[in-house]
Amino acid sequence: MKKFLISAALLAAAAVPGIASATAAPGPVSGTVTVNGTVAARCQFTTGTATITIPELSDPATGNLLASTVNGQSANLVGWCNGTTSTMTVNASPILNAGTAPTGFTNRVDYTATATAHPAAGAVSATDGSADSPTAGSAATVGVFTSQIEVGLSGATSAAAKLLAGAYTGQVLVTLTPGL
Amino acid sequence: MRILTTFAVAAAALWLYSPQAFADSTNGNGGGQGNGQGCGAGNTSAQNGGTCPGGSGGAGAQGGAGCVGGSDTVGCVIINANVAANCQLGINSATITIAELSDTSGNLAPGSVNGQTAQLNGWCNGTTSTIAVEAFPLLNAGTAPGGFTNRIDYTATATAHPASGDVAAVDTTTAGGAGTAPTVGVFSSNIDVALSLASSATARLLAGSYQGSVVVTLTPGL
Repeated sequence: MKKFLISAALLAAAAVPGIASATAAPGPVSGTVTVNGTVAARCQFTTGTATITIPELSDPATGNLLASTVNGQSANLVGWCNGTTSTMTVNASPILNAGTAPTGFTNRVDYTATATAHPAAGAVSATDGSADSPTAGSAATVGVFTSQIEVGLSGATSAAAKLLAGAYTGQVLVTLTPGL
Repeated sequence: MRILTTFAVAAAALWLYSPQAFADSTNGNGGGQGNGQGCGAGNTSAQNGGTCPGGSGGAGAQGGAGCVGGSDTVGCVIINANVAANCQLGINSATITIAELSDTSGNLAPGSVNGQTAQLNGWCNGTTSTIAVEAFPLLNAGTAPGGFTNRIDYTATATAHPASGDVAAVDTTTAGGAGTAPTVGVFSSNIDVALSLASSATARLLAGSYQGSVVVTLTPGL
């Protein structure tokens, strides 16, 4: 009987964790950290400015605008956008002289500006005429791209009058608007 | 532009002499203004901090007026252009014909010259353009003996019509060279050439044809 009691005690002890040396190892545990990131839609010009110089706008014989001096002029910007719905717009301002033009003369030359970007999917152009300045032209979806943006001038016109002598300035703004 | 008016007793002609093309002194102004304007090529916000008032870059600090509205996402193409100061004559010659210069005494009849007119037509596009006249006497090619003359002097006036008011240049044949050149500025109009104050030596006029001229010069200026 005494022998039986000792054996029972040993079995009971083996059933208590930490008491017996033959206890099984605990299983692996794991946790999860979720990483969420965002890239904002962005656009940027890396070459944001350029200059077109036209030495002479007028026809020396008549004094009127010589349209070919403006038409075909071009300059290159460079830019990019990273969002698929990014757009490009153009806002052309007339070429003006600061002087006051009497009857029969004018100090204004209007034209159309076209900006063309080159996404992989194909060239995208936006245009604007200076006649309605400062209103910009319609936005064209340019999407994701990084390329030159060629700005070309065309359709130059002025009133049927002689151009006032002197310096003239105008500008073409090309706006890239980011969109996802 | 120079206009030469030639007179003859039987016939006179106005014709044009063009000693120079239109002035090109303005060439380069546009470029000069353009350079250094607010948008220097290659500017980016990273490079320049976007401080350029007329574009993306620091070149704006160098220049004056430039691109308005440029930024990181707004590129700018500046257009600098120029129109040279220019004068041209659409009608560059005319003729005044004076059938008879002398009166029955054989002396000059001033009334035959005074009040004679002819019209040219021209324009200038620059605000400091000028008009000048040089008048040459009516002469006969023959040699006048005592008591006779082969020369008639007069005053010529050329009047252009800018919007701001008539501008007249005057010259007399007794003085060498052109008269004072007033500023005619920007205009496009007829140029009325009129003769007045005809005179000759107190002598009879040699018979034959006489010829003179009036040169009207338009000089471009900005």
